[in-house]
Amino acid sequence: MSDRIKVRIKFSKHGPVKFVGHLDFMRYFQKCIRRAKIDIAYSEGFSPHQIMSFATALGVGVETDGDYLDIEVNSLTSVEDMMEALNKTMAEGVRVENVIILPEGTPNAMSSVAAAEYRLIPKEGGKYPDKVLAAANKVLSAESIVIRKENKKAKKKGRAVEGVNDYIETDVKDRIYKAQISENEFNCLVDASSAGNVRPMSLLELIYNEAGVTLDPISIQIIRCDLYTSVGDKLMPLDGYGA
Amino acid sequence: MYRKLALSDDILMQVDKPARYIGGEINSIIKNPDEVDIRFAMCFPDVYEIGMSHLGMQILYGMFNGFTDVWCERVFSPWTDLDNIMRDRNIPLFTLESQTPVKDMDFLGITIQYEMCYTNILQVLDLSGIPLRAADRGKNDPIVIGGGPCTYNPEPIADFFDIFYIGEGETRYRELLDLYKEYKAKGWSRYEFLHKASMLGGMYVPMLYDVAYNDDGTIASFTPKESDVPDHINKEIVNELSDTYYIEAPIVPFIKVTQDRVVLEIQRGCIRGCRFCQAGMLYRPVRERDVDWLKQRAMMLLNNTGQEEISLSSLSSSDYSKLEELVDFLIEECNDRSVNISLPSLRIDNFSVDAMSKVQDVKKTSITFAPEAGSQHMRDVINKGITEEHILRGARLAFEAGWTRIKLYFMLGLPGENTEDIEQIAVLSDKIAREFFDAVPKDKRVNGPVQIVTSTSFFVPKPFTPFQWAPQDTKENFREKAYILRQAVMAQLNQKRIKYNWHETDVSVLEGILARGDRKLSDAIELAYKKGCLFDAWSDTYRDDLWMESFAECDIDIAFYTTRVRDIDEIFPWDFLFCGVDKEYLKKEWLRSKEAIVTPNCAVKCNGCGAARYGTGICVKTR
Repeated sequence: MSDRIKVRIKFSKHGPVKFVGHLDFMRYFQKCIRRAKIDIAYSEGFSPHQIMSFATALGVGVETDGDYLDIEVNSLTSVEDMMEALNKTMAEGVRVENVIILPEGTPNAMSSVAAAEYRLIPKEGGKYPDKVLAAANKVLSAESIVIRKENKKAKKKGRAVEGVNDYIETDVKDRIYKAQISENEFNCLVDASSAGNVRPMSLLELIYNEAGVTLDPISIQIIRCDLYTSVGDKLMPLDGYGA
Repeated sequence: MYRKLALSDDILMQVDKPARYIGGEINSIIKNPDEVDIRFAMCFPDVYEIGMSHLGMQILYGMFNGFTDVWCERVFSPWTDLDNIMRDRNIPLFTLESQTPVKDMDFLGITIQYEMCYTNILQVLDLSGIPLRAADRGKNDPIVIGGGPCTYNPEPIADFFDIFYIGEGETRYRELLDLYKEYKAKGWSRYEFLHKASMLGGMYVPMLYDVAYNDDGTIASFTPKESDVPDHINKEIVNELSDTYYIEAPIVPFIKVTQDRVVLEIQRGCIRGCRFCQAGMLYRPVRERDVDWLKQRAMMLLNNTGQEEISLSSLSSSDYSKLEELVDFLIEECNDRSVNISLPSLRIDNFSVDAMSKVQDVKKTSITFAPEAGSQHMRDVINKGITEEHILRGARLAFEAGWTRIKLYFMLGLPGENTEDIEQIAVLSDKIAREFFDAVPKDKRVNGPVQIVTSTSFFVPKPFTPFQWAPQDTKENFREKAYILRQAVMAQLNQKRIKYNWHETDVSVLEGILARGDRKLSDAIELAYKKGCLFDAWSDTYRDDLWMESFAECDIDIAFYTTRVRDIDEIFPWDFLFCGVDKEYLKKEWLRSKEAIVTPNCAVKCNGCGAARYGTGICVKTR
């Protein structure tokens, strides 16, 4: 067991393949690993499965420049060879961007994620309206940034539950590490940990509400730029080890 | 840049499983449209997950794309959610690879695997903007060509197709494509092309034939309209399976499909000669693939797909002569690669129980038997060729190896069936349970007690079988028989260990009408489609009421097709096709079934069915 090597793979996913959901994409990657003849470690039993875990799920329709998965291998020649072998067998729109060997004791990708950076781009060359740009500056520079979320506990079988609020309001100001907007894109670096995850689309909705403009979420392409882990009080990309 | 999709993001985000419609899977083929002469759309008229599980389509896709002048792309039925959107917004049906409208293709090839997809064929034509009837199509419409088992009685859907390809697809397509190129180059009319195609062999062009009927609705004559059009069409077959095209790199779907594994076709045809089984007659003679070729191909397919499971495909894998060698090889190789093996359609004997216990978890899986009938008399009537002793011995072997779950498949409504025959299904299920308690001592029952699932389907007589003359039971008969069996199961000693399931009755009646139908049905099929029938193979979407309305409005007498007793010399709608097995042979088998006389299988003795004229396979092997 201890002879196994932990490897982290960074990939990008763009184009039509963005409509392949997370579970299917995991199955896709398992088959890529087999085709690339990676000497991956398997679990025991009648239906052995690959030792593989993704940092986080990517929603249907979302693209990424930097998502991650960890695998365990029994052997490898070099990270460059592995990257090349995988890239020979990728589907249209999917690329392996980096492969690193994880230092001993590195926590797995899933539990490491602290933050994520996104670009939200109006599709087909669209622009953010001036009203939205103005509202964004106001919202983002305010004392608090409050996101209203539907309270799942408030509704049981479609009926309101007495004494429970329909919405939960959370101030996410200190979970937004960076946010800027231009007419072409809204860029933000936000908390993506399991406890404090901020959805970039919720932020954009808030801005549109402030501007009094209706947001059609389908008209915006979300691209995840990278995932970060925290090292001390700094954020580091998940493949930043040894860099 | 990436391929531009035919559907907007907003549509793809609102439909179920959008990855059904995007293409781009591993091993799918992209060509430059300017560098090919022929664009071929290959369609399986059901939802993506079903169509992508079909081996034949993958074979033809690979074969066509191996031709440098052809680009073959895939088309499936959009599920009802997308179907509604496409109608609302006038979006034409498109191919997955290039996302091009199907109407812009040269050919639309449709594989017709079951009768319950007929309304989906109309959906595909309709959404593509291709006239439903061949007679209404013009020079700019694709040539609509059908293939697959239902083309052995294509008459109910004859009006919707330009050509039916009768037999195995590997043999004649090249000639047809070359003829098509000539048609385009020389500026022939569509009719001229179809007329010439009808002379290639294996090609049935329905519009070139006239059907005349007797007063009682049966067929009086079936004649070509032109003197050079053949009056009979012979099935095409591949003589040497190891020399013909086989897939090297099947497409690997993104989403989980029904058959989510590598499929290795080990042989075609079946030696058994069960009298109810259409496949057993249509695909004669039995032809095996070379075992070394299969071993090499299995590894190639696993390498090229990265699939984690491989399955053997054939009508009766146990009859493959080198099965042990092949399975031993696969077990060894697949174990090294952590690949699972699935071994369907195996007879349960010492070898198969041993092999299956190596590749399956006995605690989680079940063993399947298909005795088809409960009494020995009925098993002899259908020429099943197994005895109760075989079944009980097989069950005992499975129990001793640790299995506790057994699935049993039977048919109700077989010709000549009486109440006792039905009750014997329950008795046999009970005997298998008793075998468990006898074979496994109390202290060894670590995997729990035996669980038997007994399922029955309703028998539907099919063309080109000895039972093509048999009257089908009515819906009421079916229900009554299922009730008798349910009561009989409840009367058994081990009734608590037996779970009884039965198949829907409505669908079996429709299947019966379409299976032995004639050209008079096409109006009713079109009407049913227009009333909203679609995905008839899916119980959630099947609308029996609309089908029955359509038959009534078109003055179709259902009993004529299902329960009617057919005269032994009646001309059947499919008699102009020749599937290799002679009508005289089928007649002889029908009469033998009435006497419950068993006919030995092809491995034991040649019974002179007619398939020997192909001069290949088991017919030319020394026994």
